[in-house]
Amino acid sequence: MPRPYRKSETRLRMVDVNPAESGSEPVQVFAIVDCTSFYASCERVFDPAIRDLPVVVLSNNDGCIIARSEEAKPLADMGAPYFKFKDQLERGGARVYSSNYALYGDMSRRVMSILATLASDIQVYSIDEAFLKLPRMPYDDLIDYAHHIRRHVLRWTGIPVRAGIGRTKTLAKAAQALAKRRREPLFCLTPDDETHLLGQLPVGDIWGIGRRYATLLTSHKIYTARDFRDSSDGWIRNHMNVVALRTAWELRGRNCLTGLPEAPRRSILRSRSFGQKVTALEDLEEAVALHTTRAAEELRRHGLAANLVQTFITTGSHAAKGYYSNTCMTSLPIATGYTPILIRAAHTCLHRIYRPGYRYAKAGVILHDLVPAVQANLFLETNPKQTALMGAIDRINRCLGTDSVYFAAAQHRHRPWSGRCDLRSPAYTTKWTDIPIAVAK
Amino acid sequence: MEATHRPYTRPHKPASSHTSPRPQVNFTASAIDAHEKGLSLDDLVIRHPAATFFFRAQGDAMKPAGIHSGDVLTVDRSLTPRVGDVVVASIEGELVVRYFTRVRGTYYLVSEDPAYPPFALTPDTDHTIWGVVTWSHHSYRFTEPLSIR
Repeated sequence: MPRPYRKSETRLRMVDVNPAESGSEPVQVFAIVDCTSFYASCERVFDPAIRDLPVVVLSNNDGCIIARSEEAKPLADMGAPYFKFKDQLERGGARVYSSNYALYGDMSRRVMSILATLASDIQVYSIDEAFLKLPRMPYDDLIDYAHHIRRHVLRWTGIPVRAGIGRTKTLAKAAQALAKRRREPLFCLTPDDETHLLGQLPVGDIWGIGRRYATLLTSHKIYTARDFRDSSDGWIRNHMNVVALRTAWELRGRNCLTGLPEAPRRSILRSRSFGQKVTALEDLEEAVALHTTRAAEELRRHGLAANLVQTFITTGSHAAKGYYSNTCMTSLPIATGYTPILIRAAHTCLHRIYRPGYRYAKAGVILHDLVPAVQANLFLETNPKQTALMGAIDRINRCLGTDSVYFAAAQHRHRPWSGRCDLRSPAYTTKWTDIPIAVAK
Repeated sequence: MEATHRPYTRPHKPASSHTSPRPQVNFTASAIDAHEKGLSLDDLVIRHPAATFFFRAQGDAMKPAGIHSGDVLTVDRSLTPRVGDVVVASIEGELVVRYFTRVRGTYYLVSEDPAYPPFALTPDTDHTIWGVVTWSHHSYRFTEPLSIR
């Protein structure tokens, strides 16, 4: 005869998955490993002369500052427009670079492949960050192991990395935040010191708590990560959402984020601000064709096809000669990843919204309603020749470099609007013409 | 995705004799089983892909070592330099290619050209070993790299 169910028993169900352990028992932890000032560090690997100088990297168009080395931090704000800090940077002896994504992407792949050999599982989080599941070992050994990881990556690639270790991903991220605050290369949160140290972390620094929730929490006198961790589930459910609740559980040591599949892509956007204002329809057509090409490459890379194509153009809010912004969307008879069809659709939209006489600052393309390409092929008629052609073009471009083969509509090099990148360093690791020089002397 | 070799399939013997003659390649069963992919220079030259980089040598100071100006150098960052290795190192902010050696307890970077003096690797000098040169590649025919990568 089964025991009668008692409601109070559900309260005890939340068992701490990783109960506190002493330093000598093996534990399973997560490490978040991130590269310090990644873009700047990549530049430094191949130019030792800038190792101790302030280094700054700019976005496409050399518009905004997207990376700063430690020495450059007092000279310019992150994300700020370059022209605002140009003089200050010059006076501070800073070296400025246009973003070199070919280089950064290659160096990132190297770092991630090394990290993959040092962990039982790896989840690449961004171009310069990855979660590692470290092999089971006692906390004392974990710290040594983390130092070993740092030395290994630095030796093999020249990129310095930082590590945050915790029982859950959110705790590892908290350790990373503490490491950043204290300017240390490594921080490990053990169950014994979690309470004390989470009390030193403001709620805004919790991974998953954004600015709005941070304001909400502080208005309710929840100031630190410890305060948030110790808030009741009920309160969190009522004032925030289930994601925040999971974050709280993670802070308590319960792993909630493992095993969640990556969210399927909903849409793909490609756009860029112009290097100089554009007025002619032909120039806009070229830019739109280029963005469509890039978006379609991303589409095919994920094995998807698009049903909807949207084009937008804008003069930007600071337009001197009048503001105009518009967008148009068109649906395709058959979901496709075939660039010429997508370009034609994007141009149809563009012609509907283009108005002469305005000075456009930005154009972009968004692909919506994405479905797996295989599914599209199965149920509708697609031209196998088109699929084969795009496959061949993608392979050639991967081998010989982006835009080795491109559609004439998407001509974009050496166009006045195509964006400045004069300060870009060579593609040291991806083009034979650009490999670094070692002088025999 | 790289093109994979299509597996060789044994030619099908036609049942009827009315088909036109077709050139047939007669591999024995052993040749089919022993089918391997072709030789790759990457496999020969690159031991630790994540730590392997390519440099171009400039200048003649290391010619007696077999490194001519314009040669490509395969450089492995993961190896610990040994006395006698050719290394790429940064000396006062410049990347150079020299021998790594030791004289009476002190490590030096030396070149074959006496015009360039040895550089002592001591705590007060500004230097870093970038990586160990494992191969140099000298071309007799093609002096410029392909313009398409």
